[in-house]
Amino acid sequence: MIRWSLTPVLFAALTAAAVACPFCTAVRPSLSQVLYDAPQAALVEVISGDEKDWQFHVSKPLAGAEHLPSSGTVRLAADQLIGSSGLKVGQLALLWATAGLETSRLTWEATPLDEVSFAYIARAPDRRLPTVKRLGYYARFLEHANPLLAEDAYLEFGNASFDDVAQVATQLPMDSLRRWIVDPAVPEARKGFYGLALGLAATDEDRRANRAVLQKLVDAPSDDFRAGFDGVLGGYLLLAGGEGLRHLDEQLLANPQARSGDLRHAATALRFMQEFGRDQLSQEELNSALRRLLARPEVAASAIVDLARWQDWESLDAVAALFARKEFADASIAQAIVGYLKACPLPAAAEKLARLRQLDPQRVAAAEQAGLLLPASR
Amino acid sequence: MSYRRAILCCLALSAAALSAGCNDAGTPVTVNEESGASASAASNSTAEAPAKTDDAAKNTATIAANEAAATNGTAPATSAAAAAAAPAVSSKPGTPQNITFDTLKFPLEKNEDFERGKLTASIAELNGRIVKLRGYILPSFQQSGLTQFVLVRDNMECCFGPGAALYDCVVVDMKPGKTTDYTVRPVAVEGTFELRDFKGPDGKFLAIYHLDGEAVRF
Repeated sequence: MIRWSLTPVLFAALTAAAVACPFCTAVRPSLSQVLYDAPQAALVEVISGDEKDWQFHVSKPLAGAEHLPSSGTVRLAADQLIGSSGLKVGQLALLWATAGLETSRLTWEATPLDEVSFAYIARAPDRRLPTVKRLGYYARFLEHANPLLAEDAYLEFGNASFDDVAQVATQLPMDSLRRWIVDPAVPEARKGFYGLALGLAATDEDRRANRAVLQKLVDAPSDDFRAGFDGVLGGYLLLAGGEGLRHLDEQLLANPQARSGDLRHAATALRFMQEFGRDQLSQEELNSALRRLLARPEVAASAIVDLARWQDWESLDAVAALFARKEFADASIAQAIVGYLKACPLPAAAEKLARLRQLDPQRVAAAEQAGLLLPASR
Repeated sequence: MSYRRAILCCLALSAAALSAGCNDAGTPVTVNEESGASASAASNSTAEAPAKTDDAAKNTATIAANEAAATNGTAPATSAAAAAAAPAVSSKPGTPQNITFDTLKFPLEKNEDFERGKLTASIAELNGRIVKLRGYILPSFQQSGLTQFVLVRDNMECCFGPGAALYDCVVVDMKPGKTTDYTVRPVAVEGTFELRDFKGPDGKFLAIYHLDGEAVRF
């Protein structure tokens, strides 16, 4: 039985957002992470390969060098190797081992490389260096023409902490970022990070230019889901602060015509600002902005959870009042309301919960019973 | 291009040459094979110059043989036969096994009922293993002192609740005395993985994976 004291969660309106960068969708490890965790790895050339076994010449050991002869040949049974389909004799490749599920045997994986990606990996900074010292190297490869490099460089930033990314902001190519954020050829998944990165500009000139680009995106009408829009909003709020929040309020938060998806993105951006943007926005400003979402059933549940976590007990009456409203009858909202009331330390919250229990004992009981794993609707 | 020339060339690329395709999607990257500058830069590269393939054959030593040598404290074997017989052992024993939400994925159609038998063998084998899994903490009513939370694939609404894939969330209970704070950032959770069913009041599955959390790293 899961206790209510443990309950965090409702899922209802988590939306598109993303990485360490809370606005990226890539949780996959970068190549450097993969190699750092690999018991053995090397840059190799394929010497031979067939259905029985594969042989590789080791050009540069990258991990477990003591087991990888730097001038030797690695021989693997074909069933030990994943990803051999793209390999051919003479091919350059990245070869690495992972601790297999069977403890007695390693599993090997290989990725074909061209000369450029080979050099990219060979020259990559040592993973043991502080992230801020490594990120500069990867900044040059964002949206590189080689897709492997472009994706890996993005993953390095996506997996880095926001503080680390902020520290290397001056090394980010702001001109290019402004182009990429509006370029339909750039993968949508990366635009959340690029939006955030634009918000980190250091010079007045870049900040002005970036704000203009981001505001244009904020104001652009959208009929469809906008991947990375949360990052755009996050970057915009970093640059525009309270003034930007007021603009966002008019455009989205208080706009009854605003699309649900955009509101979810806005909620994600507010969460981000609550954690990282307190120099730009006060808690009271954030609370006020988030309260707007209580008017929208499709995002109310997540807003209630956030308000509870932010200890915005001024919303107590407004939150409790939603319980009786028809358009807020979804189970996820009831669960959020009950969770909020239980999290609130004010005596009034306990009284309101008792009142709701009288009003609809079954609905409150169901919400309580769900506990941590509250089913949430969307 | 010969193997040796190709490697020398690419390792010799100056930073500027390597960046030739940088930051401009669609710009082709070219490597100048005949570049004297590249050749001279190779000698200054921190990367090792590769040995000739022909020479390499003389140094054949299989991975498995080396692993056996590392385990047994003997010299590396050099024959394929020895290699075939030798078990491979990770050189980093005791470290958590890195898994991703992709590792936990299995064929399950939307609205299809879940049964344990639908799990793949590789997922079933994870039961009881110490793993490290990266994901996001599902927003919680508490900011700090979380002893339990749900780790989801990403911050999108795909990952929990009705309509979401069961393999996209993991219930985490921190070990006694350990807690974590809510963050919008992705986190890496280390702990013991377990197959455990969580059902809602209606009897439907809400989650099927559990982690006994040892540490949450930001």
